[in-house]
Amino acid sequence: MNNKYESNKWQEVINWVQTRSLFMLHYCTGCGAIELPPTMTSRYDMSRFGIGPAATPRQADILLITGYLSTKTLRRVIYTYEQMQNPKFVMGFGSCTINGGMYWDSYNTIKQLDKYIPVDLYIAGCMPRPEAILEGFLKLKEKIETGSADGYKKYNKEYEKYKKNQEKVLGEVKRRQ
Amino acid sequence: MSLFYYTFIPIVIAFIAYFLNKKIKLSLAILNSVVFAYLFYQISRLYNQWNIPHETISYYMFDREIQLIFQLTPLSWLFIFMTTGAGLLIAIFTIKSQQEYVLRSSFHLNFAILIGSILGVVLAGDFLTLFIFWEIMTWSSFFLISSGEKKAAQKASYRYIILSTIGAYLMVTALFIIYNQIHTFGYNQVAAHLSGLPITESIILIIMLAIPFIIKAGVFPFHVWVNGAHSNAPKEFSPFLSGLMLKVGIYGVILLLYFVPLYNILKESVNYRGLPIFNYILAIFGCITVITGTILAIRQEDVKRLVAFSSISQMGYIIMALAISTPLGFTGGLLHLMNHMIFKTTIFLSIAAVIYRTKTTKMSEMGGLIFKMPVTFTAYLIAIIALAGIPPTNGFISKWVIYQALIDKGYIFLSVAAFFGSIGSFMYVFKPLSTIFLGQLKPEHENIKEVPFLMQLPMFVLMALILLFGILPGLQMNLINQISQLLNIQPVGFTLYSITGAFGKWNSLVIFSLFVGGFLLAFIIFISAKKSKQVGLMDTYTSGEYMDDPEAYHYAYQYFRPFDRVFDSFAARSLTVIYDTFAQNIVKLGNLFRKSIVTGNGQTYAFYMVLFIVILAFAGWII
Amino acid sequence: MILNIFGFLLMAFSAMALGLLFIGIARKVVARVQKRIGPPFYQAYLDVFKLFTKNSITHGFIFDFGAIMAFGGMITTLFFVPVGPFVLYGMNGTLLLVIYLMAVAYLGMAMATVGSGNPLASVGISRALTQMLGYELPFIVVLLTLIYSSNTSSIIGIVQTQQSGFMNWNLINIPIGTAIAFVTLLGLMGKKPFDAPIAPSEIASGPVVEHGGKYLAFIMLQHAVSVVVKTALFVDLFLGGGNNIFIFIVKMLIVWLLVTLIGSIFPRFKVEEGVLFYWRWPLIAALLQAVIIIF
Repeated sequence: MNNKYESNKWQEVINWVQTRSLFMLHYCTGCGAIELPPTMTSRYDMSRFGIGPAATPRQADILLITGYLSTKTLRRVIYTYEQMQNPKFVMGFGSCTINGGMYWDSYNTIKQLDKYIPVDLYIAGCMPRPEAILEGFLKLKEKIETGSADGYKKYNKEYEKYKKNQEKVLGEVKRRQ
Repeated sequence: MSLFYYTFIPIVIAFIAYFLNKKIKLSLAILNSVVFAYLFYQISRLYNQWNIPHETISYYMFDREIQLIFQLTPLSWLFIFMTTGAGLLIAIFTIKSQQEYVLRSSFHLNFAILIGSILGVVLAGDFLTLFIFWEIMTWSSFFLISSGEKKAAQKASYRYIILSTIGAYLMVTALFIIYNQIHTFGYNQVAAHLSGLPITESIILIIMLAIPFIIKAGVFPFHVWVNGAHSNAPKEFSPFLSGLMLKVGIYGVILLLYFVPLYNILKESVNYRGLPIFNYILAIFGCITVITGTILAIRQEDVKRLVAFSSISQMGYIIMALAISTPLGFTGGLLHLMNHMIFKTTIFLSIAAVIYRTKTTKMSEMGGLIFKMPVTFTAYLIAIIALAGIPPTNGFISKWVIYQALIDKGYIFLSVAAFFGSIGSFMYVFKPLSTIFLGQLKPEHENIKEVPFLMQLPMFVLMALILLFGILPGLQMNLINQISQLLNIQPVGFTLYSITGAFGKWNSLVIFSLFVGGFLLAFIIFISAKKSKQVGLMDTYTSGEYMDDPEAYHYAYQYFRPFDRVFDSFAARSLTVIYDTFAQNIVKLGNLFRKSIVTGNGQTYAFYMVLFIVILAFAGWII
Repeated sequence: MILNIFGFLLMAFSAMALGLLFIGIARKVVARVQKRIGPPFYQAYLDVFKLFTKNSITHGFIFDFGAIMAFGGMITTLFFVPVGPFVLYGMNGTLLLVIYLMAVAYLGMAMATVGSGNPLASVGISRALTQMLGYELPFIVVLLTLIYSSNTSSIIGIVQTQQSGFMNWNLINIPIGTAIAFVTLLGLMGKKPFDAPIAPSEIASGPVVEHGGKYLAFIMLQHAVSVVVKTALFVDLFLGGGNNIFIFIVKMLIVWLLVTLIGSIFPRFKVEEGVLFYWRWPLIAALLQAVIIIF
């Protein structure tokens, strides 16, 4: 696989499989978690797209942040994100992750998730309905297939920037890796 | 070399070395190793020389001739070979491991005497010789157990010596009753005499003769000494205690059941499904031993106690297999006896190595030692695979033969007990593996190193033996079939790689090669996949929490709590408590008696004197 | 020799493929029971392939060795179970051997997971071992009865005793035993009422909590092979085996579907409840049947 062309072909196969098998870790902080059970169960059934829940970050491909993040929970999200294995994707869910939503003027809620960890896709809405969530997953699959869902690469590349932002709100962030 | 010297040399050397040891440190351990190595070499040369004549040493005491008779049979060769082998390995182990141990000199003195006396017991040609060496063995092992570093060692050794003494009294009484009638202690004469007696009398005598052996073997209901003695004995003696001392009791049982063919006598008593009722009761006791040992082993938090209970349960297997008295059962029992000696010694030695480094026996105080002590870990791992009876180790083979024997006769309840013990053993052997060797490393154990080479050497030898006999069971079967021929038991068919059971046979070489194949395939797939990144033990999934304290992140205490909950009421009704209550009641009764007679009141004593004179007067001795 | 190695590889890989197919079908079936559409039947292949392409972490050599031991042990077990007419090593005393060989895989997995240093994994292993003591006892009693009644302990021998027609199957000969063995099969496979060891919502999927990437793929492959081994064992012992590989696979599929269907409608037992359940009715019934057959 030294040949660039072959390497691309191989990468395409990997991407194709990746889009059809996604393990999702849902980080349920806010009210958004309530929309996930209908998405998973018989009404909407996301497993027909090959998406299933995972129990731990080690097994997961997608980190789904369902709602607002206080400074306290942001720290947990960062640990969890760093424990996930590449390739990994983050989905922001609801207005809270985009601009703070209804918590836009709260003193201890972070406003924009993108500043702290790279987000591949946002689902807007307060709350987004299951249809919107499924639409979001399909969009993410498209992005993975074209290779444009590269947040994890960005995180590695611009690690210092993210780290600075994180430490600005959290103070010291202890890390294992 | 005369057989007598095998017992004599270690005992004499022990005393010489004891005084030498006061001057030069470690000389005793090294001298012991050299002596045991010499004995081991000599004994291995004795193999196949079964026609050495009986040896008689007579001396006179109170104008009576007393004879010590020694003889060599394949059975006794097996035991002396195992004894000196284990003694040699443990002596090598102690050279390094006992540097800080205060009672070092007396340990080695007693250990050498113990080896000598066990050789005496096994080589004995009549009951008197056996009894003399039996008592030397009891006392030297008593001193060894009581020299443990913990306070509880004394209590445990008292329990041991009291039970042993009861057994010895019963045995000596039975022997004197028999001697009174036939004026000899020879095995064959005693057996001939017993078969001539009425059946009840002979069975009572047989039980009196058997009880000391059963006590030493740690079979229910006399297993109460085993756990205390094993867990409190010096860490180097526990392997020997479990690996061999218990087996000497089994030797006695084999001696009674087969060598002195008491089986033929028992056959005439009440039979149940073709098995004498005595054997059946013994098998049931073995079955209870398996179950009790397993359940209690799972509950333990102290690693040596845990392995001690596992010894109890494994002894149950051997007793069960021997008691059912089929060729297959006898073979399985002897195979398991050898294999249990090998793997249980390995387990105890690896645990002694851990204790040597960590200075604790509580499992919850250790953890994550695998990266610090890989050799010890490997020894423990291979030994527990054998204990759990997983192929391709020797433990599988002996358990398989025992199951075949049990199913063959249709003893369904005994087989259920055997399987319970086998599957339960997965549970209790995994507990130390998980809590001592795996999991989080304690901060205070950060600087632990692997044990010195002299301590690793015995473990390497034993590991090699486990795998060797797992692949080539024919080596053991060769000797066992010679023993079977000696004892008039129909030999079991075998080749170098397989044993013929009641329902078929298998080939250990094929099993081993398939294992290699399966592992190779897994390994190739593993290697060809993407390389993984090494992270620390504390970098684990913690629900997003950052953990600083490895202590809090190690699951060790009450590992099988859900299971233990089921048996809480069972474990509360311990047999030890019953014995203790019994002992207390005897003391109370004695006190009552003493208080009512020896009141400490002058008038009472005066009354006794008057009463005495009056009685004499009535009898007409005065006046 | 070459032929043997070829057969070895063919059997190993086809068992993996078959097992993954079965897992995929089971997911589809569970989805249909819950009125979902469910993932495609080839989902399990995609999952394994994806996991092999992902990055992964290891917690030291025991983590690697355990994964190899789990998978290698299960592959080894496979060669002692006749799958239809394909019998690689038809030795005589294999039934007890198979039960113990499966333990190698469990031990490997247990070592790897506990070696990761995660206490949730230890909790899972503790539960799994406890439950094992529960379901193995009635299972073993049934097996012993089977060995005694067919007078051989080789699986091939037991298959041969049931050859001539449906009425000779052990399903008909010892119906209670078959039912009990089926109930223990649920525990053996960790299906729903007895899935306390891997409870994802309580202990974060227990033993596999630290497994990601190729390690999880290894565990999935091991599970796939174990599905084949266990269903094949059940078919061999009770449903008369099969001379034709297709009929055999259909039988396996029926057993697997039944297990899946029953597993999909139950909640979860607490671990000691599971053990006590097995020791109550299945064990008593198994012992009764053993007593009837042996005496």
